[in-house]
Amino acid sequence: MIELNRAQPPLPNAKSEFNLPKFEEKFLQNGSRVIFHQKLGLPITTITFIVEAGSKYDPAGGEGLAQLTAALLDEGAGEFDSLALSALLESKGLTLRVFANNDYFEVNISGLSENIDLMLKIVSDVVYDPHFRMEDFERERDKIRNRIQQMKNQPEAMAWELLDKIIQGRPNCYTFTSANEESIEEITLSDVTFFHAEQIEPLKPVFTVVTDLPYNQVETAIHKHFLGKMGAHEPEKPDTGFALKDLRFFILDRKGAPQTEILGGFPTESLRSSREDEAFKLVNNLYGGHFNSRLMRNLREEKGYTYGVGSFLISMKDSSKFIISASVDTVNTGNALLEILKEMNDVRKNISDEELEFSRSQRVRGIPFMFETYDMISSLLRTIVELQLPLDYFENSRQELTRVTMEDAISAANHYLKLENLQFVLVGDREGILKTIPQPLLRGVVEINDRGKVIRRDAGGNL
Amino acid sequence: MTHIEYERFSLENGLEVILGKNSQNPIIAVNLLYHVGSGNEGARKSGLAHLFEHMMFQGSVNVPKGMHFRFVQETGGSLNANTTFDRTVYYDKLPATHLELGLWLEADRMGWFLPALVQETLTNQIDVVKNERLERYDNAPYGLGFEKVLKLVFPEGHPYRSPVIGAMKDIVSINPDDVREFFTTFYTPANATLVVYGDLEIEKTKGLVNKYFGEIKGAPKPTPPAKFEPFTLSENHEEIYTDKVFLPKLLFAWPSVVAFTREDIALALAGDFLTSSKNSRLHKKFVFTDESLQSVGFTNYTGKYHGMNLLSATVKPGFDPAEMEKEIIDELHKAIRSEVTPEEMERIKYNYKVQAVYSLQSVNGIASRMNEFNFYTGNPDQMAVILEEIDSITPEEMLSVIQKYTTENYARLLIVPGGEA
Repeated sequence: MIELNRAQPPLPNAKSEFNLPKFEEKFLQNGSRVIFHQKLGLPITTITFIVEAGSKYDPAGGEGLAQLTAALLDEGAGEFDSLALSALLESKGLTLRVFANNDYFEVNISGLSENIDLMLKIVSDVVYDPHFRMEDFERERDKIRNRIQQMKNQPEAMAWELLDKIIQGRPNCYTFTSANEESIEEITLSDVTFFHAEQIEPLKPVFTVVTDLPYNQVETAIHKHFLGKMGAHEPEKPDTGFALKDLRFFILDRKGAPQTEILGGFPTESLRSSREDEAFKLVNNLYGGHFNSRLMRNLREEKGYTYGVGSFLISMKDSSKFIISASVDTVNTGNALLEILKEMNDVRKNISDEELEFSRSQRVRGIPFMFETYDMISSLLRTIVELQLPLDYFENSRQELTRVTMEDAISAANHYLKLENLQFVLVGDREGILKTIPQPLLRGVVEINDRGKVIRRDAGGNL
Repeated sequence: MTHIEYERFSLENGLEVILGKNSQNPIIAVNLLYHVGSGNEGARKSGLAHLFEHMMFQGSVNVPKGMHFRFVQETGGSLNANTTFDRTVYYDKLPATHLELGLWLEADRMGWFLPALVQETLTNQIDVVKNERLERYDNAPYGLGFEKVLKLVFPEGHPYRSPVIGAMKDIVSINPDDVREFFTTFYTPANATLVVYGDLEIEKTKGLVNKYFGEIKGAPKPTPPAKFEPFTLSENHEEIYTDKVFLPKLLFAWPSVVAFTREDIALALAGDFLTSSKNSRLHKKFVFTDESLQSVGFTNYTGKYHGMNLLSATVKPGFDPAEMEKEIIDELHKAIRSEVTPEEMERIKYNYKVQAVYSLQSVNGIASRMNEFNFYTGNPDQMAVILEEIDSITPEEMLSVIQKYTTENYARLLIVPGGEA
């Protein structure tokens, strides 16, 4: 056998070509939008009902109201009580999810396409004819009450909750405002029915649909179950401003913890598909967005401080969050923080051509992989609605990514990476952490309790 | 609809190859399953199989450290690996035009891993795995529960007695000789199965597989772990441990069956019957009606050598875990003696059929499934067989299998609040 020369990677056998699917925009008789994509191959349909009634509309003191309303909607609707509805879904293999994120209230249902009529009936019942029974309310509220307590022992969940409170001024779990110990006791069933009647029912919804069926069949089923029920109002615009703060390290003591959960971040502008936005996505990618990023190479593959470290962007309708996350062994907490800051400082000054090209290649050539499954496409359609993007957003994004220059990237890194405004939450052993934090950073250390209340401002000076 | 076409053959060095064509998207999956997991560690240090999986990304002769990720991600593709008790899987999902890249990468570490092994990368990955263990087990609520249950169920010397991640003292003591011996014993072509699935030409791919893997030297298949006969517990094995958690948790476990047998499939249905939906027996009673449990779940963990039924229940404030233990076991027995309506049974079965359709969407999902089925049953297209088995299982059969594998003595771990982090 002739030995193969294995020293060089084989070249691709052809140029990768993938024409992105074109999404369609349709309008129902009442003017509601339907973002539609027909994907042939498997008899699968996934539908999402979306109204802008997310947790940003929770009243002060009633944090978690949208979350609790979502939890109640599938606890009985139309002619089905909670158990009957669950049995119906199971008997047809349907998956129903009702949830609220920061901006939107959404009902998603997936199943075999032969059930499309039933799927739309269920969504319509859940949105417009929920039972809101007291025993269901008490049960769901009690589950959330216990989850709040359980979360206190989950370092990552606590870090998220506290970081959002610090950077946005309210408790937020990932991307929605969650209930707290006080608010969950304040919310009544009347609050839920009022929220439903005032914030959800009157709004004009948007639908996203991915299916192997033709559009006319989908439209007929939507009209059958939704006409005469859908509202026509546009949502009120809540205050979504944010303020930047000086670099701080907030410690939540978890005595004896062998690891520190590090979560850092700051709020930033809403990101869409301008050249500058795409440049920042490339910068984030090479900073902490993939396995070969600077953070992973440094903190994991060179120093072994962590199993995983990453940075990412959470985009919402009117703002975004830039986040850095890692769990590190306690003794390396300070070193890890220094490296995270150092890498951020460096990336604002210097990006190599190779890094930029790799980052670009990964993002541009990764786009086709985002269209593989029905659920993945459904998620893309929801992103288009949630962030108010054009239908050809992904094609635009691909083109803009190819145009980003080194100058664009450095400029975006300096504009967006606000090192001086990073807020870090460190959930771990306070004493162990403080021993590792270098003197210059100790000035920014604040100790907080699990509700985010400051216990000690000079925490760093007390050793 | 769930039937998958494939071709299977072996190279002269013993590598088993399975190819399948699916041109729905211009994507291919290279999925390589080594027939080794933590259950094969035997007297070696625990955690070696998993740490070894990490080492496979630390470079081979032609692919330096970090470059495997780089080559794949540069194409927009993705990759990863995972280790269980029985096997270790590596996969690369790539544009169809980069099929050769995937084969080259996997072949290089199968054939030319050892010369690139250095202490520096091993030390680094020991630190990484230490942190993985801290993050997922030691510093996570209830994180040590599964590990403790394994020790209560499986006897000394059983391949499933230690968790895949391994004990911290073992992880930190792994040295280059351990890694060399493990590679030489288990990472041979004859101890692996390569599935390539997606937008490809079968004949051309056969040639490419031979081109990249054909010259890797063959070696005999390793000896499997000593056989353990099916067993039950002769008495209840009970333990209480304190953790930094808010709610007490009960974990009940029983020894059960090997993977993909008819009894295993019946136990999978039992999970739906007992706990998976609002109408399932235990969920309805304890979570929905009595509101005494925050959650309840029943899973049959199965493997090549044995299985374990695990019933977990998180107890709400105001309820005594000792009382709940009795109530849960009583309710389980009650469910076994109850009548299952045809509608209830049909509902449970239909869900499986729908999930089978869903599982056909992703090329790597299909490739993984083919490799897994082939490893456990010898048939990459086992899904069709499983669906037929599901169809033929009666309520009486399901109940009798649950009875057989849950009514003997059990292991019980009670995790109570109060510990420090």
